[in-house]
Amino acid sequence: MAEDLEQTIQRLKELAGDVPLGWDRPRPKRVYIAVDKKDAREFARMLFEDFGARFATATGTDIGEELEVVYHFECDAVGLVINMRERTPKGDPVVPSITPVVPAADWIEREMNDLVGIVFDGHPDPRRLILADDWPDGVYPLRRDKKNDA
Amino acid sequence: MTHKTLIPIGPYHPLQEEAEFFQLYCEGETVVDMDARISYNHRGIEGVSMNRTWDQVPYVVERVCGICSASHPLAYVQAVEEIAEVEVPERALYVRTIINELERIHSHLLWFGLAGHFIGYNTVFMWAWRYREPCLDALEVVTGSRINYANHTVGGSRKDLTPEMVKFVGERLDEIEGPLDMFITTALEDPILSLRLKDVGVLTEQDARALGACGPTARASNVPIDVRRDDPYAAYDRVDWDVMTCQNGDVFDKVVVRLLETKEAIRILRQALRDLPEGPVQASVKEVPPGEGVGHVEAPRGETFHFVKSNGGAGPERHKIRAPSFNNVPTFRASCIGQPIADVTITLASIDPCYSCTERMAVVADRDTGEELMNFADLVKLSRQKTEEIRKQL
Repeated sequence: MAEDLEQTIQRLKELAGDVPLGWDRPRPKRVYIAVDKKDAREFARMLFEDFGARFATATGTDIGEELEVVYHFECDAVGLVINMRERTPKGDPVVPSITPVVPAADWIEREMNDLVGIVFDGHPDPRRLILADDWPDGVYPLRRDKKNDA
Repeated sequence: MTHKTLIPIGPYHPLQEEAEFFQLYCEGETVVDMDARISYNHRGIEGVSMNRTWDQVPYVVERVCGICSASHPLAYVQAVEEIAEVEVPERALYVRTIINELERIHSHLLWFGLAGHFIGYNTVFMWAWRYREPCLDALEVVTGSRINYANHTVGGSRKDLTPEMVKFVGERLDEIEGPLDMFITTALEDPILSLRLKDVGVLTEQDARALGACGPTARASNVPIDVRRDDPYAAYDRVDWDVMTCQNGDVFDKVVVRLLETKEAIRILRQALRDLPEGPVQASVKEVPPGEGVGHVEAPRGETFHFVKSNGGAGPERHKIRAPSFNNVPTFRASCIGQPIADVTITLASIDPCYSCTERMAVVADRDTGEELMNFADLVKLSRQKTEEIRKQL
């Protein structure tokens, strides 16, 4: 018999072990897992390969002192959305790329690099995706200090 | 010595005439590599949305895409409703279902017509677009507009359906259903379509999963995912319908999946119109507390994903929009390499790409000497010639 939602969550907890820094389930089908950025690639690999989740997309956000990346994975069989969250200080905007283990993350990591200025270490093709070639270096449209008039 | 030809496609898509640009590297007739760089049409809608209030955003995001203009607002309002824990009235859920399924019919028929046009089947184009019109008429009567319906709001639906509207939509479906059956029979049985589209632009199940493909692109490659069933929203768990999948992942299967889905959409619509419950269509929403919400909707092209973050203010603190084409366009590398040039155009069209959603497309190339350029008109000619040759051989 197919796994139900609670069994799926249980399996996820077992696979995750003690890696997550925080675990939140505000609604039955939404899970938010915070991980240290050094564990991010391995955790993403686990979600994609071992747990069998589908990669939906990722969100990069400037949250003030830090930059936040939320990778959204989905487990379609039970409609579960797993959000893997990692943070890094603005002074050190480098996080590991998950593209080597999750190919679908290729474009969205390049987009986050362009728009929020997060550097994905180990990305196989870190060219610009969104910004024009003549856009100035170091100016990120979705950073808080970026004014709309430019 | 191999002679390499460089073919730039764009910055307008050969089929859908939106800003994008591919470069194909060819040896003889065969594509050996390709590259895509995007963003000719980036409008910064995420940034715009973050400077608007909760109620204004649906009208902004429906302009992400003219064809998916019911899917983006629905994904957004569902994300906000998740944060604010809003109970949406039953009738509004049905109204949402009706509008989104009408959108699916018109989108799939639009694509079917264009695909026919592109391989030199202009009769398909004329017929498909002829029967897309009743669907647009139905949308106009229900929402007041052929596209950009301005209907979904946080907490419900802006407009209600009158009994006359329900009757009108039902009559338009009667008008579409017969010809749709004919399209399906034609597509499945026509020998030229089979020869022209089978085994062309194959996306394997493995590639579809690895690249995160969604919607009909994934379902044609035997990846049975559909947000409407997997994480039900609106009234999809209250009506009886099936997820359509095919096995081969070629262009032919992508045609079949879309046509069968259009048929299912009519099935969903008939039940929704019949079972439309009485009651209000709008719940009162006082404020949106701090929090995060995910809204995803099965748009005609695949899953539209919205992530909204609230800090308790008047509008979203962060609003991420991921249109289905953003995941589907990178599958081109998997489905085009190794194909003859004449098949590339229909393969590029087969995912029903939407560039104003994805916002981008361009290409970088190593401009070695000895490269030859072909233009878009040459490519269309090649595609049509191939169909013509198949026709003659029959």
